[in-house]
Amino acid sequence: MNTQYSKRLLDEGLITPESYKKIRQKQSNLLFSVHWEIKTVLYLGVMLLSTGLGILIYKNIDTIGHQVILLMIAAISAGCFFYCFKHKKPFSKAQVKSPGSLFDYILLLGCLSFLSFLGYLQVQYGVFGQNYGLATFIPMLVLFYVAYDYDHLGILSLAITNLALWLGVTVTPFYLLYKNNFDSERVIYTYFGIGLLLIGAAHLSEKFTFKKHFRFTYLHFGVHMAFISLLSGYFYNYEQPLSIVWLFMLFILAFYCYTDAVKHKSFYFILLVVLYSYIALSVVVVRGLITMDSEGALYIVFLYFIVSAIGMVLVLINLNKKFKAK
Amino acid sequence: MIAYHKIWLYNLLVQEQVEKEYRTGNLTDAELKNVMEKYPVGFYTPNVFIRVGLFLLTCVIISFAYGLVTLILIDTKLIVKPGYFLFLGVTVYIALEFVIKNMNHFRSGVDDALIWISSGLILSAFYLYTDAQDMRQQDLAIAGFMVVLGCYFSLRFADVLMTAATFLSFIAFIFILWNQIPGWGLITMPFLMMAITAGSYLLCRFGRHKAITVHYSNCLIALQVLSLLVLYLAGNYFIVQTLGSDIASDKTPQVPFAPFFWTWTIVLPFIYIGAGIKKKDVTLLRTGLLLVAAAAFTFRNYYHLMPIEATLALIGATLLLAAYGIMKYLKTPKHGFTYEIVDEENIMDKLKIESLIVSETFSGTPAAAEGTRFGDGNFGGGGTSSNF
Repeated sequence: MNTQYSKRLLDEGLITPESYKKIRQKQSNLLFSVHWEIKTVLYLGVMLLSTGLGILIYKNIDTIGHQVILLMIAAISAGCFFYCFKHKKPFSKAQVKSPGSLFDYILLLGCLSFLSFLGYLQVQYGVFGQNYGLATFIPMLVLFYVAYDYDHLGILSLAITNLALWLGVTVTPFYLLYKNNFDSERVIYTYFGIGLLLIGAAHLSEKFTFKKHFRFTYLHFGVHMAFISLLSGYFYNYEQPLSIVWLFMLFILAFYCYTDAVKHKSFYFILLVVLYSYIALSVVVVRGLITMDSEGALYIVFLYFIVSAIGMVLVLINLNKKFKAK
Repeated sequence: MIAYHKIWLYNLLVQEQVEKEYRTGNLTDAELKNVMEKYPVGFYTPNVFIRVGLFLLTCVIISFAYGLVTLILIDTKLIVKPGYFLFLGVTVYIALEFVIKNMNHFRSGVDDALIWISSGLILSAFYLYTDAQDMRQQDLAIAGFMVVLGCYFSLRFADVLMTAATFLSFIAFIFILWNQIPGWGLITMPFLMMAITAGSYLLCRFGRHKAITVHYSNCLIALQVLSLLVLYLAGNYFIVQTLGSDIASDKTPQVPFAPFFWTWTIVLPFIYIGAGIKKKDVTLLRTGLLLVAAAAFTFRNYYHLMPIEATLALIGATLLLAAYGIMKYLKTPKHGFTYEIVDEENIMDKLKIESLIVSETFSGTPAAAEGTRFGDGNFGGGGTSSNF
């Protein structure tokens, strides 16, 4: 704490002289932490190394040196896993505190190079043959196992990405929103299925207190996928009268997520539920008004957005208050 | 000058400091409660997620409200006149002052949105005005107007991003102005920029912890970072060469004082890091680390020692080893440095934000579907740690 503040608080009698002394003492030998700098360096190191090695084998795949590179990658992967195995804490159903950031990133490097290794084997020797499902299924199993056994959220995200890949789609919300191609019903159903599966996984993790802290990661992916696939399902079937069923399902899901978020006091999921349901609601209103097909309807659309957005602001502010009061 | 309730702003600073001490165990519950009661804060400041939601919704409200007004006026010539935009901007500005004064919003998302919308509309009005007048020095006038407008908004609302935008407009203004000097304007440009940014950096350092800047501490940090970055870029070989050849439209420009610029490009980041370590200054240290990458990219742009993938792998391995070395070295704190987290402030917030960022960072390389080589996403996925 700044000297001027602590002195003033002392003079006003708000803090005791002992506390003041403690604060001054801390101030005089303040330690400078480079924790986040080192973490960033570790993160960059793992990312660059695995990317570099990935391109390296890709480019040298037909040359003589490729076996050396293959061996090198296998050695890196094995070395990383050996290190992590040696330093690992015993498995527990609760959260296991990691031995340190180095451990986390070494484990990540091990997993990434393991994936490169498997990919290489598949391309060069076709170990999984034409069975591409198996080629993504096995890495997925390994990743889920590592995520649970070593308690690593990053690997869990990787595993979820791989789960979707195995089913033939990509998952991160950014990709969903910006590069989406929901051109077939199958893709929409797949996304929706995975979304529900992940939400279910989040629910079960908590219910059985089995790695309860994985809940957030599951729910984050699950909620985005479920909502976006429901919205796209509606637009895909826009011309059919039954398309409204998609939105109906969306509101049911929103209600479930809302009660869940209130229970966990999660502002993030409250925000998601509010925004996604607002979009769905607006879609219905605007569609209804467009069918009127008059100039007056256009004015009402504008008025609707002004009034409803003000309403949403009030909803958010009130929800925030309600949470704080609890 | 500042729009927000001044006493509350001060109390907020006191509260933050006291909470920090409380977390480290230097204060008792009773003391914390005393201070909180004596230094009340009446701002409406929701958490970051609500803030994002309010920001988006405010943008929706304003755009549809003005859409509606424009729709009503669609048949008149009014809607392309600068005065119309000025009117819109001023109305939003009045709303902004109202929200702050009467509803006590402070960094709530609503005020953030209104700050940007009103300044944007006023700037558009000025742009339309210069266009209509066929002004000869339009670029210069707009940059100058941005500086003036930005200074006002920065001082009034102490917004970090606004301060950054203003500083960059200022740099642009000087650049356009100086570039008009025929002959030696462009040649002396790097040195002028160096002098200006070095000056602004020193000024910001001097202005820290003064009574007058107490509510602008974050703005000053932003200014320091930007000054350091522009100071580096002003002498970066690649920037000097590219800008020089673009403006002079000379195909093979000779960069004068090339050895000087090369030294600047390579050595300056390390000077930043060294000074950062010596002074225990986070701003200098982090800017320096960032610029080491810039220096490496610049070097590689001119000298190809090895293919990119080998470079990546090599740098990655070096970084890992360096991090490992520093962690081993700092196992017990040395020279006032430690690897441990000193203040556990907002650690839960960081967890969520970090994991969100990480899961998004790698979505750019979606793993390809079947049939493509390496279709198993070996570059994908994030590296968040589970040790929180």
